[in-house]
Amino acid sequence: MKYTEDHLKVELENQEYEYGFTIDIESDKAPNGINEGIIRFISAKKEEPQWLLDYRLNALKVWQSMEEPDWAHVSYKKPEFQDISYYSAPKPKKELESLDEVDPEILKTMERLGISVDEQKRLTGVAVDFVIDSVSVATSFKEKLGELGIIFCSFSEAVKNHPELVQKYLGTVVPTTDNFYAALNSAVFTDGSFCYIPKGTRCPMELSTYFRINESGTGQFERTLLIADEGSYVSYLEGCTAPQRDENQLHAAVVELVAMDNAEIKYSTVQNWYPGNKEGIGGVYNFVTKRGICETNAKISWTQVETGSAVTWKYPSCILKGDNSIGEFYSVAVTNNYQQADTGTKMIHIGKNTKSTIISKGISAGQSHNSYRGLVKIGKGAQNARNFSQCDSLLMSDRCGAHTYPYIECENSTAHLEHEATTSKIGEDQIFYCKQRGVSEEKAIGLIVNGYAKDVLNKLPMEFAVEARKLLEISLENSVG
Amino acid sequence: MSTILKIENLQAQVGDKAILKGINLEVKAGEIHAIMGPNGSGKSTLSSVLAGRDEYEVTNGSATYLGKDLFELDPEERAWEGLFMAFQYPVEIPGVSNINFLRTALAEKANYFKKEPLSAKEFLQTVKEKSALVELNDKLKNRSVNVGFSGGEKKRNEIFQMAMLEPTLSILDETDSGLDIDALRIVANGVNTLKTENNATIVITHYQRLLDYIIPDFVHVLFDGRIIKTGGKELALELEEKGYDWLTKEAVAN
Amino acid sequence: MSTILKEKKFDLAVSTLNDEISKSALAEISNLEFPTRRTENWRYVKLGKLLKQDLKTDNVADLDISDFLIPELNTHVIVLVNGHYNETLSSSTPSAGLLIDRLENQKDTDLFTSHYNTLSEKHSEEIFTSINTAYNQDGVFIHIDKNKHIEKPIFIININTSSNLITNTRNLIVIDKGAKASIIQGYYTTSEKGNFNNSLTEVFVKQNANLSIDKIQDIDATDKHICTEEIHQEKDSNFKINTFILNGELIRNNVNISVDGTNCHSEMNGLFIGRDSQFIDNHTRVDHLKSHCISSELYKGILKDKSTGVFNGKVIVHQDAQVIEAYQQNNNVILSDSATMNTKPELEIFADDVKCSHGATTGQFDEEAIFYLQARGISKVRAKEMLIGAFSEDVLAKINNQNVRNFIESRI
Repeated sequence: MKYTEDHLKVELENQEYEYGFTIDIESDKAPNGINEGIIRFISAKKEEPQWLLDYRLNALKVWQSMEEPDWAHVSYKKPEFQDISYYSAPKPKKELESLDEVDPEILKTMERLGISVDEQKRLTGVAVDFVIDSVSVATSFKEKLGELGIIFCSFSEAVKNHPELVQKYLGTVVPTTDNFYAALNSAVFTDGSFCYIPKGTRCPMELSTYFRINESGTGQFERTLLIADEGSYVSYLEGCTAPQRDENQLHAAVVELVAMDNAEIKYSTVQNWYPGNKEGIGGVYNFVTKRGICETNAKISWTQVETGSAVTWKYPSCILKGDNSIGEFYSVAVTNNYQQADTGTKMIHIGKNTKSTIISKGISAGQSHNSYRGLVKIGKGAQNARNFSQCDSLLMSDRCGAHTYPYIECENSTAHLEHEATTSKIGEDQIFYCKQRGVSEEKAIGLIVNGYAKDVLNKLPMEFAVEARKLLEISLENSVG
Repeated sequence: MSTILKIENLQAQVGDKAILKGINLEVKAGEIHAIMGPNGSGKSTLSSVLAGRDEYEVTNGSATYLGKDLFELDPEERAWEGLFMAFQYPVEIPGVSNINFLRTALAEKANYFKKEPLSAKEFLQTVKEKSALVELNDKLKNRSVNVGFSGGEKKRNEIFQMAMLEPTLSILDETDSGLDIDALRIVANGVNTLKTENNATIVITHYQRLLDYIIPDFVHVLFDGRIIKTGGKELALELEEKGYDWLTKEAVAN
Repeated sequence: MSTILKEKKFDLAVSTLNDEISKSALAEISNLEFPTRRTENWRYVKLGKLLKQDLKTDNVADLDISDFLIPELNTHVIVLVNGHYNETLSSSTPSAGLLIDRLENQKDTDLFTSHYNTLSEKHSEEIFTSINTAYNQDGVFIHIDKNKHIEKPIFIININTSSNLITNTRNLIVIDKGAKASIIQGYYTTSEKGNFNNSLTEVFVKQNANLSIDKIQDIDATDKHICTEEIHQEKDSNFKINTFILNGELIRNNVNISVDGTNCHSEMNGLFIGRDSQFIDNHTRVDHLKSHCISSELYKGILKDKSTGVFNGKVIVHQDAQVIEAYQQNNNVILSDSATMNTKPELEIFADDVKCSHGATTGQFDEEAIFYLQARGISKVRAKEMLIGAFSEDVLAKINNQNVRNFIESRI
């Protein structure tokens, strides 16, 4: 008979997390806990130079002196830092020359994630780096990029082959002392992606990293460093998934972007870490520090679609240091069931004629909490700075929360700042209109939500936009009520 | 001629307030019915109840649509079965293009009848033909549903959607409100062109004006939740001339 | 002996309004720290100078208040000099259903005990609130009886005539069911300097009652004022507060409204003009606890010289409060490179059937507009004045009483 929201709810609650399967790869895992010995173990295991070990040990000291932040609008059981294994590498450990050598299990994983490596290689020309439990396992398209002088490799490889670049830029955008999780990451990060685009080079393909936490009882602490030299351009994508587990897994990454004069970086994320089950058990704690620095005429654009994680704490930011530089932040964050997200951006205007745009679309359903937190700061010397911010929240249930905390600080009389925010319920009249035209409620919600998030989804590269749209619909299917 | 819709003793309320107090109406294939009445007589309630808006509670009576109990169907099932309502205030849906919206609607309908949806090519061909009918600008087709449309464009968009969905029964709810004479002519022309022997139209309006262009077979006067008089097209002209008072006074007296 | 806040050295008499409440406030103070710039709610405030200042209390009998009266406006007048209720200067015509008294005189009444401190105790973690509760020395009690409409506005004039004063004025206002009143709160200084007012007013707007408050802060450029209003609204009530900040070294306003009934309307408006090194901070908080209510807020700021402005508006829609409309707007103009504006409009929504929005802009006057006026023969200075007037207009328009409006305009 009548198919009601309640039917839909039951059906979807029984639908398991689509990406929840574990790969059976024997791990090379460090004993639980964090102390100087563990740091030395990680560093030795990775055959790192002394300066990097020193960097890590200093970070450990800094971290030990800091307290875990609690200002975000999230509440969760604080991770037991001594119960986490800080190193977990999937075997085989040997360097992989090509994708053909990748463990077929991992390739199968990629396919189940909806990324067929072969297909991507053939059709879209995306160079992909796979990072499982913080260890990079495969990087495609290396030779082709090499011809242009583009370096795209795992962080460990970069330390071995391009130590001067790593040493020069590591920690320059996100210093070790920046915050609790950045300090932790600086001490224990195991791998990640590294990318360098030489002067005047336009990277001919999307660079992409897929992250996955696999081993149970591990955290993922990857480090991404992306340098766009003068006049270069790169578009970089990252995707994240994790298997379904009853425990909370910790993901504390640091991403640093450097856009030199006239360079442009477009950084897109589709984050779909395991969000926990419908009772709020399990799921990933996603505590990430992402920041970019723009020199003269440079541009950094962050686009994110956040549908996963039990708790998210993430503010991709831009330091607009150079004159005429541009920062952009486009975000869709969806929370359902018991998920909590506190996300937003910081736009720090230092240079003259700097411009920033913020578009944030939050969608809360179930009993979740979704907060936008952002800072727009116009420094004294930032003549003619411009900012436009729009933060909208859409509410899909009477037990969820949507919060907006924008900080707007202006110290210059020539700045123009505009901030708008709205919070409203999903429109019943819109749903009825759709139904009258023969569009079922479920489809109608999908249409309306995608329409609502369109300004952000449009900023994603094509192949990601499709995945993101699908994710939005899946994440919200059982949500109106 | 076969019966499309049969309404018997329909009563409905919003909250505790009774609005429809016993409506009887039969609409057959090939007919155009006009429902007229002063403000607050229950015209919009009638169209909302027929389309299935859930603020309205049917307390008594029945509506049989193509042999089925209309009130057993969800709004989207009514749409799939060929019931179309042109909204008095078409709703804006930001970010959803008109084209994508219609394509989804048609695909869902095809799915209901277990048919293959139109191919992209066929679909675009149909869009081209049907939009010419209401002189709808190409740009509007790709814009978000009704967002930034003028009043007239919204109403033309409703008729365009009607043309695309090929309904059996169309209910035009105050479609003439807010239209200038050119837009009115375009809208009416669209409706007339879509008329066949197999479908029917209910035109709900306050003014006689629209009925100069869409000629009704029957005119019903709705007052205080009941149809107090039914006549031919000449009744509309009489109402134009004399207003509603002579009828409503009579009704109150009775 | 004298009072130095930082050292928690209070040479002040403990409030005798209610011994138990005073005692618990004292205990609260000993556990609390003064806010620093890391305290989220006091993020931009520099309290250092105030905390280190040597403060005292004083009393004075006679004074000419004619300067502070609003021309052509007939009001009930209540005067507090240096924080003390001055019965000689006060003049209120008896009016049915209107009770105006010194708060102290009412402390044994049921009306007092059932209301006093019930709102501010919820914010006792704010040290200045607890200081007021512990050390308030005097204040006003106003009660409007059921269904009485008091046509004549009630004007509470607070004047400081001494230097380095600390005053903790405490007021309690109860507008009973169906009653209606309007209150003007004025804060002034004669020629003296360096005073600190820490005032707190608890306001109860009962079922179907209607209250509007116009607050004028025009203290000396070396004076500081922390001013808190705690408001409680019952169903079908209307409350409006308009704040005009014309002068003062450090001004911090806290307006906290608990909307605890259905079909309420709440409105907060403010206009501030910062000069020299002034620091002006407006914090508002609306808690929507019940359904079918509307709140709206409009604050506008003009910042010159080295002044700093802060606007922090918080709207919280609690879980069972459905069908809420809440609007916040903050527009600022910065006229100097050394001026700063910090804006933080916050929404915390726990219900779903809501329509909330906030907008904030910070910018400057349109150079084109100034040039256009100059081209029509208006001097640049005058052109800017005209634009300031135009910018202020929609806040001034919120004042119901034309005489009050004229008075404020004349002081801008």
